[in-house]
Amino acid sequence: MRTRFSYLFSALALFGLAACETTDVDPIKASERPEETSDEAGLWLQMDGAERLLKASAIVERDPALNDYVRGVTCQVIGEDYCNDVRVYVVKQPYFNANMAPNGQMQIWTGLLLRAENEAQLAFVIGHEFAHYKQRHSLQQWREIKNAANASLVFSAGIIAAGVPDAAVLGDITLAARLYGFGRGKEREADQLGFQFATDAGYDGHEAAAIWKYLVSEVENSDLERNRRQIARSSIFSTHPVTSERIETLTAFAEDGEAGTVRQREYIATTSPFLAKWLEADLVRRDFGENIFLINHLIKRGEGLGLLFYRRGEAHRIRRGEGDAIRALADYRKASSFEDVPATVWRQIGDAERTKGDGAAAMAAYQTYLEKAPEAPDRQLVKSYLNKLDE
Amino acid sequence: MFSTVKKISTMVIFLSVQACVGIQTVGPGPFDVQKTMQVTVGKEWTKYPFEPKTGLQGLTIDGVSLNSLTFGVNIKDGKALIYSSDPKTLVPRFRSDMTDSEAVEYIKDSLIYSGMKNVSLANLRPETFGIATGVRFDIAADTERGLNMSGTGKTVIHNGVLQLILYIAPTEYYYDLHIEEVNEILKSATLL
Repeated sequence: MRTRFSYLFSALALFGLAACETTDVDPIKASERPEETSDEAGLWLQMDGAERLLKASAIVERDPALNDYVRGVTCQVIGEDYCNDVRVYVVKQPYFNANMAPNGQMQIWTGLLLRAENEAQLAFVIGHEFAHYKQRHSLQQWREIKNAANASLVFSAGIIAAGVPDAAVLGDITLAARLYGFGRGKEREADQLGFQFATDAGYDGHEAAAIWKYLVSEVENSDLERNRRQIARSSIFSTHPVTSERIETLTAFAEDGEAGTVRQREYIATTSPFLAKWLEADLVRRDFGENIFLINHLIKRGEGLGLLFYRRGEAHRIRRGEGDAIRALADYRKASSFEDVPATVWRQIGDAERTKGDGAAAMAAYQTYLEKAPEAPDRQLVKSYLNKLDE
Repeated sequence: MFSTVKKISTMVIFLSVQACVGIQTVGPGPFDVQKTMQVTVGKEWTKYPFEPKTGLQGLTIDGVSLNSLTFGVNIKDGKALIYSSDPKTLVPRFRSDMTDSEAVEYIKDSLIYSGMKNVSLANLRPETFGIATGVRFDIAADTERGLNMSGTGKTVIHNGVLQLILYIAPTEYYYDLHIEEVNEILKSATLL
């Protein structure tokens, strides 16, 4: 009995200490840096170290034109005062993602650039991420984690003291739900402020919800049931608002606002040189449902069709579902009628015809491939196919 | 972010633990890989335990991050070179009806999936692999942290299963250090 009173006393003391940490912080000002002795400075120090690693890594896309463009959109959205406080990195990852560190390091993943349809959609993502920075969400989150962790410790200790050790796990679940609950609140705030930053910069508010609508449609076509379930329902552990709620909220914001610019032409002109490698990287994820849905979506633009039909053929070829070999060959043939088709389409047509048993068609395709790609890395291999077919 | 680093760290820890029980040296002389493939090594290599979940067997001279010679034996239809405890995980998987260039593509995609960046293939050419004709290829890539890597390997699909040998080392100094030895090993490969 005395022991339980001791636990209770310690618990109340810990809870009292935890309650001292304030999570109420002012937005960061332009050019502001945290005081050296603060917990915020500690967070920045950690992130400065991570940023040095990122800068030197191979995952950063270094193309000057693309970086200048993304940086330009960022400064347009966040304003000149903050432009030097935020450093944007285009990160070579095929997933739809962006994130913001407390020290001003923003990451835009290539999977997001691949899926955004225009500059306005990119601007809303940038606005959202910048809101996290300006509102010091990471600092708030850090302090909430410390407070919640202390409270969870109290909860666990209390249950152990009561003689139900297994139930201590419940303390961790409560903690996780609470932390991620705070996360959802901040995401909502970031949506609202991000919308304001982007529309103030002149972008069309309707595009904020549009990128999420697209993402829902793509994930509904995922090969992975777990992904489809995530989009269909919320969970207490979800860090973001339920997607349907987010779409409704952003749509409502747009209805109250004025029309703005979309800048699709500029966006496509800047990103189209990267489509081939971004789509290839996306297929490595092996989510054929999402990949094919994405390509079909891009085909609707009516541009870059040689590349897009070729990439759809690649997805069908690698998936190897029923009828996929026929679909792949049809896509390759269609792709080959466009000027922007990669030369490798002819190698794939050759392989497909050779597998079908049409030696003459295979030879014709391989010869075209070698003519169009004299420096091809598989030149010797293809020559060996031709020799065999010629026997 | 740096998943490759994490994987390498995990691998290093795993290998350190294994050091007590499973690490042996092989060569100079013939080396049998799971009674499926035989090569002749000209130097002494350190052999790490065979990994049955992926079918991979590793050798190194200076340490896995400095030179890594990996053998993949009897990779069957549907198998991945990347282990996941969840069989539904979407990863590049071998298909027994792949062409030889698709087999090389499968190896390349597996490297990308495991975190290698800027992976490119070069110099694909036919080369005998025991009684069958396989494909020899060269690879250039970067680790996520930005270290330039070079590699060379060969693969064959024989009787519906894939066999592969892949050598990877940092481009600076280490790749050249043992490439002549590796070329001889690759030439000597036979299927048992």
